[in-house]
Amino acid sequence: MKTQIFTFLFSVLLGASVSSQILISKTGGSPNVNALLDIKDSSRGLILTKTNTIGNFPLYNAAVEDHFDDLPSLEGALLYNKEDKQYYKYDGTIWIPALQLGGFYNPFEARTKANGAKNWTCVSLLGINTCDLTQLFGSNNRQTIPLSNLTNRSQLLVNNLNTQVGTDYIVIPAAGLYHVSGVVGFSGTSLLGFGQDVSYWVNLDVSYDNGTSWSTLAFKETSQSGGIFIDLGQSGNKSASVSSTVTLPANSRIRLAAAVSTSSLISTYSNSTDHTDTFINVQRIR
Amino acid sequence: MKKTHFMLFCMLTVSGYAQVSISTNPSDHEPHPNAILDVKSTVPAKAVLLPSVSQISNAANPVGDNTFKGALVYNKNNASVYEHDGTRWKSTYDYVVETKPQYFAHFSRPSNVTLSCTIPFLGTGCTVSNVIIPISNSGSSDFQGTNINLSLASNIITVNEAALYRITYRSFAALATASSDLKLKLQKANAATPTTFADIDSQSFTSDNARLGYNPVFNGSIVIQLNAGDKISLSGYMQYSPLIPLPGLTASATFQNNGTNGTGELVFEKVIL
Repeated sequence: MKTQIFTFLFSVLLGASVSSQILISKTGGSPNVNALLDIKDSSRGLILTKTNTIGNFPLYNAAVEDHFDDLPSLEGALLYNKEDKQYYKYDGTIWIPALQLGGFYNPFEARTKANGAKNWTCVSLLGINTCDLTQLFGSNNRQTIPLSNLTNRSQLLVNNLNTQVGTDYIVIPAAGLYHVSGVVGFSGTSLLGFGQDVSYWVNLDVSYDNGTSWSTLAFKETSQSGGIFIDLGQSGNKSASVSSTVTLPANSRIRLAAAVSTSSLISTYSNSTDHTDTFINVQRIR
Repeated sequence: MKKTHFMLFCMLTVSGYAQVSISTNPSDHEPHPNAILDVKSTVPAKAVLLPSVSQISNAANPVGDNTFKGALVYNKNNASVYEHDGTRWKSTYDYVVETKPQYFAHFSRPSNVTLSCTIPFLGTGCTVSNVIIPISNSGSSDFQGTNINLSLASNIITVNEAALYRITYRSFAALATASSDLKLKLQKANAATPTTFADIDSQSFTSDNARLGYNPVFNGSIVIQLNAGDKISLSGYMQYSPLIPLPGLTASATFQNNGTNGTGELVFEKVIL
């Protein structure tokens, strides 16, 4: 019997057989017609290649954001990682763990970055500051962040939900329960704030009528400490985020907006357009 | 030519028991005794390529073929490995993701709740504290996953299994009186004192929020370890203290269950550690 198997394999490798299929078995027989490689055994397993650490994976490159170079021809490759004791598959861009907890590919995920920067420039004159909420009697500097429909797996900008991305909104494709979050990265400088905090306000709006009217879905304030009383100026970056778990109907629209409140004598802020800083993340839960 | 290439870079061993190993290292070519095919590892690693299809419908799909059970193919369309169960192809990946709603429970709000109070004689303000907000598990968007064990009675949710939970709650409100301070609170009681509720989280809507042009919405989220028997409820709170408090002035606000700002809802997720 074992001789027969050996002969079968050998003939395949020599190309002497018209069959291009391979059977590995101790009991003989023939490969399943739909399989190119058919491994038959009732008790023994199949061992594929394995590695001790993700750093030894093919195409590993610590310098790129997703840690792996792209190679479309390797798509479909399998490799076992002893670090977290599971198989990884290569999708042409990155190695994805079989257990997707924290994994990169989620068919219910869309993440969209900002397409441009909005500016908040504030001056204080005669005690009235153009950015101070409490001094403007209802006026405010809230601005909607423009969005990009760019997808880039390496930058984790994906549109697996097949959402339509407008100039400054995302269209929810199907009714369901969603986790929606928005993040805005601010950078800017202010002078003579006299110890008053700067408030960064971020909110998500929703429209149920194709953008005719908008209402607030969620909002959040993030404060930056004003520091010492005699203020010669402060500069730096600040991230502010907001999220909501919400039932949304099909074709509802989501947009991200931001405002800055400060009482500094003069200040200017803008939102970052980097994909790591400013984005909307939509995850469908059900 | 093909044969030469194969023999140069790869060593194929067929042992007496018809086990096969594939190795690039002559000193490591013995198949593992419990493996029928052993593809030996190298450092840095080389991978194994599965056959791939551009979409799963392109793969041969025999029905009722026991010998095809366990077949593997890689589907480029959604970057997923598929297993054949003898009847159909199943994604190994969807299995993980699509079962996630099993750990969720969703409750909706069946009706509006109005809070109102009147400033009493010689008073400087008035307060409405802790009005229980109705919760339903029979709305069109409500569901409870099979792996999360909660029960609902009299607008109070009882947790029947000790675990780590993420609780997310949201509502919106109509403010009839602008200067009132309105709060939506998440409250908890334990099994020993099931009627004594204490705040574990709250969200409020302030005059600054109104100045920014925001609608009165409340979004809260908390991750908390809960014991079996713990009870969770939503409640509304309002404090009215106008600049010029006159006795007889009234304030009112309504937590709404549905409208232009979306639905009020309460979502539990059992966090898997």
